[in-house]
Amino acid sequence: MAVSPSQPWRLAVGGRIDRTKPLRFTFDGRSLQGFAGDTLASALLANGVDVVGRSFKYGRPRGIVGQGAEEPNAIVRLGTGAASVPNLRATQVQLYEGLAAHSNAKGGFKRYAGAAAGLLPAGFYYKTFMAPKGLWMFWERRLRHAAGFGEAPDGPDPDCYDKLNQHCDVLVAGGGPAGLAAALTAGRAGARVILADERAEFGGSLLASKLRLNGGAAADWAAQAVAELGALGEVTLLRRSTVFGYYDHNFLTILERRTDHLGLVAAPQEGDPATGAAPMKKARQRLHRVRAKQVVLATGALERPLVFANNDLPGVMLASALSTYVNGYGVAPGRRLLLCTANDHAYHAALDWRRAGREVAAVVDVRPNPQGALVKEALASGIEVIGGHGLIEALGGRRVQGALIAPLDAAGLRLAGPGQRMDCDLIACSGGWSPAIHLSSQAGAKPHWSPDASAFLPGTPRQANRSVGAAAGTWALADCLRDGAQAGAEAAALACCGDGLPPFQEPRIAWRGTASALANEPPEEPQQALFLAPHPKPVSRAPKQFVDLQLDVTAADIELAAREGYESVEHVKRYTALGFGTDQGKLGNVNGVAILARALGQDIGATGTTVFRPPYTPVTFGAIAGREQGELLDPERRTAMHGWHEAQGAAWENVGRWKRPWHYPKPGETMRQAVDRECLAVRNGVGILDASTLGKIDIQGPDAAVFLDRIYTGGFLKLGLGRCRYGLMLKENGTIFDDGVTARLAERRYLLHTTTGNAEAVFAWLELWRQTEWPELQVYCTSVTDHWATAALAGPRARAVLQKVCRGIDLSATAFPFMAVRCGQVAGVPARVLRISFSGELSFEVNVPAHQGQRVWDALLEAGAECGITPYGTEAMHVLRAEKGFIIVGQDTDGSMTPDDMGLGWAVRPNKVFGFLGDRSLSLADHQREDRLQLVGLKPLDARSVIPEGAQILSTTDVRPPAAMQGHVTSSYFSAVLNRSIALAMLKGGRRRMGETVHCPLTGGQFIAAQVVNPVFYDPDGERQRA
Amino acid sequence: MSEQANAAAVTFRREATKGCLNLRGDPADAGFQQGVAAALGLNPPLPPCTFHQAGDATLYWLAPDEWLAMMPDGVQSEREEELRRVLHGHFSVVDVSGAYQLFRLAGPDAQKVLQKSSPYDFHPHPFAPGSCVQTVFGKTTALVARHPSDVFDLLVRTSYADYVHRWVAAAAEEYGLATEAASHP
Repeated sequence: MAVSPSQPWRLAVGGRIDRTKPLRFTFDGRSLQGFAGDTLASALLANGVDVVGRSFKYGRPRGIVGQGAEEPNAIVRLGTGAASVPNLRATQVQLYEGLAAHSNAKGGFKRYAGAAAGLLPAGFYYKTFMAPKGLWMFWERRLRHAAGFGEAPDGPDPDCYDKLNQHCDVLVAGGGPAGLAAALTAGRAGARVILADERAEFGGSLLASKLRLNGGAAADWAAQAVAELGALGEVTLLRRSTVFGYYDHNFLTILERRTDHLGLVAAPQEGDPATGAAPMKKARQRLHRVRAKQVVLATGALERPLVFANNDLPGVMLASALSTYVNGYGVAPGRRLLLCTANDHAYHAALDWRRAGREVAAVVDVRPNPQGALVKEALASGIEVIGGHGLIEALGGRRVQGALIAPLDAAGLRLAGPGQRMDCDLIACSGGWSPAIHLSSQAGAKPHWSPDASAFLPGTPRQANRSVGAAAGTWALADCLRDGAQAGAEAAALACCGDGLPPFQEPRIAWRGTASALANEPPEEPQQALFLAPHPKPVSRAPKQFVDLQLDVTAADIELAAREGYESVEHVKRYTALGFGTDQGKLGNVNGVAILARALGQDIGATGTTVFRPPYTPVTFGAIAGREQGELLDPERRTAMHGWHEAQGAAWENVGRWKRPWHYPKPGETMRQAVDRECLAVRNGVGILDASTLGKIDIQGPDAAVFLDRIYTGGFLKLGLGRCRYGLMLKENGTIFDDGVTARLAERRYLLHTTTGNAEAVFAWLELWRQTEWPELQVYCTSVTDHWATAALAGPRARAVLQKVCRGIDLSATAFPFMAVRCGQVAGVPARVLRISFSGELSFEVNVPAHQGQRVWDALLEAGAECGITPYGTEAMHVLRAEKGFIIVGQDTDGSMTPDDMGLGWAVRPNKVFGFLGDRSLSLADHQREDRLQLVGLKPLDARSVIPEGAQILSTTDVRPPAAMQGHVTSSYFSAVLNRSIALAMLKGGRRRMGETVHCPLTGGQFIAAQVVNPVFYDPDGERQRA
Repeated sequence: MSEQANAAAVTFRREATKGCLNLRGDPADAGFQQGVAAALGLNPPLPPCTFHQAGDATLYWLAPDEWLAMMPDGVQSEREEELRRVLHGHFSVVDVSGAYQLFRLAGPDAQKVLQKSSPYDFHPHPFAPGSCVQTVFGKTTALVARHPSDVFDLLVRTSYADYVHRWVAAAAEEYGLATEAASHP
C-alpha cells in the first residue's frame, strides 16, 4: 500500500509497523491515520502534528520530545466520559482503530492570568501564601482554572481491574539486552522467573539496533530469546507491564496493561478477535504483587536533553527518540536536522536520519576534536561535524526554523566567540544518559554521582537486587549481555538453583558502516558533560532555558532559588516544582541538580539527587482498587437466617461486618411504629431475635476456671455446672473493654460470649494472655462464633413457645432457672439453650449449628404463631435493654469508664488470690474521683421529647460560652411500654444528683429539660426475667 | 459434571455440610496421638501445613497444637464422644461443624484464582498435593488444601460463605467459571 498522503513524514519503507493495516484515530477532534504498530506519538509525528499541547505555566506550544516513559509534553487523555483515561504519555499509547485522544494542557496560566503569567517566578505559591494577606485568595481562583493536566472521568469506571499475587525466584525488570540475557540464564537454571517490560515487545534497544548479532538482525536475536523463554515452563513473560514500585522485603508491584492497546471498553461486549475489541470481562489492567527472592534491575537509561534557550520549541527532540521514530516507526519528522551532542552515541541519530534520505545541517559537538568511529562514519557519510561548538538558542515560533550555534571554551561553560545561525527544522540533542535508577533507589540504595559516566549510578543494594546494563551505567551491548547473563545466573543460584550450567553463549556482534566494518560495535570516545549551554545574555535575561518541560521550570528559576537561600536539593525541588510533574523529572532532574550545584559552587555529588518514590510511571486508581469495590469492597457477614430476614423486608444495621436486622417494618409503618410494636410484643407476648452475631469462644482445659478468673472482674472459680455468670473484662488501665455472659458447660469447659463488634479483639486478648503471659495455664480457646446460629425467644410467652418444640429439657423455672444452660433438642436438632436475658423478660437463647439455623428458626416461628410471635431487630433490642438500664459496651462506654462509673461495682470481686486484669488500676486516684462521669437515667420533663444521642448536658439554660459541660447522653429512645422518652447518660457525680433537673441543648438553640433518675426504668427488681 | 462445566477452566462447587471437630493437644504426648488415631482412624499430621486423609475423615494441620478433623455430617457427635473417652490430660475438642462451609475449586486456572485471592505461594512445588494452609482470602480467611490434578478445597467461615462465593465468581470470570450446586453424597 502506498504511503498515505495524510502522513507527510512517514517513510516509504522501514519500521516495525504494518502499512497494510491503517488505523483511524482523532487528536483533539482532528481525524488522522496511522498504522498498526504505531504509538500515538509516532502516528502524530507521521501526520506532521508538531504541537501536542501547551505548557503548564507559560502556555507555550510543545511538541513530542521523547519516545517512552520520559515524555514530558505529549500527555493525553483518551476517550470521554466515564471511560476516559487521563494522564497518558502518547509515547506509551499503542494506536488502535478509533482511538480518540485529547491534549491535556488547557493553555497554561498565561491564558487565564494574562501577561502576568510571565512574571510568575520560582516559589510563586510560597510567596503568595505568605504576603500580602489575601493575595493568594485572588490567585487561587485563576490558578485552579489553569492548573492541571486534563479532566477527571465523570462517572464510575466501566472497566474492571484485578490483582494477582506472584512469587518468583528471580524478577527481571526490563526486557532489553541485559534483561533478556538475565532471564535466559535464570530461566535455564530452572528458576521461577518473571520478566516484565513496559513495552509491547521485548528487546529494548535491540529492536531498532543496526548491529548484527550472530549474523542476523539484533531484533531477531531478541525474538529467539523471547521464544526460548516462552517455552520454559517456569518463566512468566509480562508485556506492557511496568515494574513501578519496589518496597521492603523484595516486594515489587507491576502494572500490566492488558487491554488498553485494544481500545476503550465503554459498554459490555464480547471480545472480537477480528476487530481486536477487548472482551468486557477481562480486566483492563492488572496489578501484580510480587514477592521475589532475587531481583535483576535491567531498566535501561533515559537520554538527557540539553538545556539551551528556547529548547522547548516543537521540533526539539532527544537524539535517541529520533532514531526510534526513524528506525522503529518509519517516521522522519522534518527535512533538515541539526544534531547537538557531547557524546559519540548520539551520532546514530544523524546517521539514521541520513540513511532515511534526509538532510543533516550539521552535527554540533561540544568536544573540540571528536574522533570516534561514529564521528568518522558521519564524516564519511558527508555529514558536517562542527567541533567545539554548542547549540545556544533554538529559533522559530510554533516549530523550529533554525538555531544559533557558537564556539565554547574547553569546559563548555562560556562562549568563545560570536554565534552563527544554522537553518534547520528539526533539532536532536543529547546530553548523555541517565541510568533509570528509580527502582534501585526505591529499594533503599542511595545513588552516587559518577563523573566518568556523568550520571547518578545505583548505590550499594540494600535489598536482594543487582542493577545491570544501562541501568548500571554499562553502555556497550557486549557488556550488557555478559553482565545480564551473569546477574541472572547469580540471582538464580542465590534464590534456588543452577549449579553446573553451561556458560552463556554471547552472540557475535558485528557492525557495518560506510567507512568501516567492525567485528564488534563501534567504540566510543569519552563524552563531555554539558548541562546548560551558555548564552550571550545572562541566564536571568536569556530566552527561557527549560530544565523541566512539564512544569515549566527554567535554569533561571533554579538559580533564583539558590540566590534566595535554598541549598538542599529537596527544598529546591519543592520551591521550583522541579520534578513535580507526572514524569517525575525523568528528563530534567540531573540537569537541574547540575545547574543548582554550579550556582552553589559545589560538585554534583555533594548536591545529590532527590529521593525516588513509587510509582515509576502513573498508576490508575482502578488497578490499585482491583476487585475490591462495590459489593466486594468489604465482606458482608451473614447469619444463617439472613435470607429469611431479607424476605421479611428487614431494614439492616451494620454491626462490624455483620448484617443485622434493625427492625421489620410492615407496609405503611414508620420505623418508630415498627420498633414500638416489636418492643410491646416482647413485653406483652413473645418476640424472637437473631442473636447469632454475638462472639462465642469455647474454653477448655484444667485451668479454664483460673484463666477466666484472671480475665474477668468477677469470680469464676465457683461457678456451678450448667450455670451462667455476667462478666466484665477490663484493660490493664481498669477501663471496661467488653462484657458478656459465660456459661459453665462441663467440669473443665466454658462458653464465653463477647459483644458482636468485639469478638475478634477479645479472642486476640485471650490468646495474648494465654500464650505470652500465662503459658503455664493449661487452657485452649476456640472461636465458635460461626458455629452457632442463635434464636433468642423473649417475653412472658417464651416458655410456652419453646415448650412445643423442645425435647429433653425441663423448662420449668425450678429445673431451669435464670442464668442457667441446658442441652436438649429443639425441632429435632441438638441444641444448647441458655436462660439469659438482655431484655429483662423471660428469655431463652436457642443455639443450634449454623447449618440448621433456618430450620429451627422456622420451627420456633411456627410454634409461636398462636402467641403472635414477633421478630424484633437490634433497635427494639436496644430500647428493651435501655428500659432495663443494661449498658452496651462501645455505646454507653467509650474506653474510659470503670465498672463503678457504670454502676457495675457489684460485678467486681476484690481481693482475688491472683487478682484480675485491671484490678490494681481501679485504685488509681483518678478512678476514685467523686466527680467522675457516672451512668444515670434521664426522664425528659416532656415525655414526648426524645433527646438526641450524644447531646451535652448542662446544669442551666443560662449559657455563656464556655459552658460547664456536666456530661452527655449515650442512649436515648421512646419507650413504648413506659409511654415516654427515656435516656441513659454519663453525668459528673451522677449518682449523687438523683432528682436534679438538667438541660440538654439542641442545635437550634432550644433545650430539653430532664430529670436525673435511676438508670433502671422498668421492672427494677428483675422479677420478669426470673419468671 | 455439566457440559458447561467441562468447557470451563474453573469449577467452583459449594459442598454439602461437613462434620468438623477442632482438636487441640500436645503432639509430643504419645497418648494424644494414639487417642486421635483410635478415634478418627488417622494420625494427626505433624509437618506444618499438611493434611492426612483416610476412610471418611480428613485431618488438617492448623497450628503446632491444633488440627481440624473433617468427616461426613452426622458422625461428628459420636466421634467427639469417642475422642473425649480416649483422650486424657490437657486437650480440647470442639464441634465446629456449623462454623465452616466447604467449597471445591478445580481446573487448570484454579491456582490463578487463588493467586488473586491470597498472597500465599500456591505454586505446586512449595504447595504440593497434601498441603494445606490457613491464609488470607480476599478480605476474609480460608483454609486452602491441595489435592492432585489442580483440585483445591476451601474451608471458609460460614458467615463469609456468600462473600467468598461472589469473590471467586468475579476472580474466575475471565477463565470461564462453572458453579455447581452442593453435592449430596
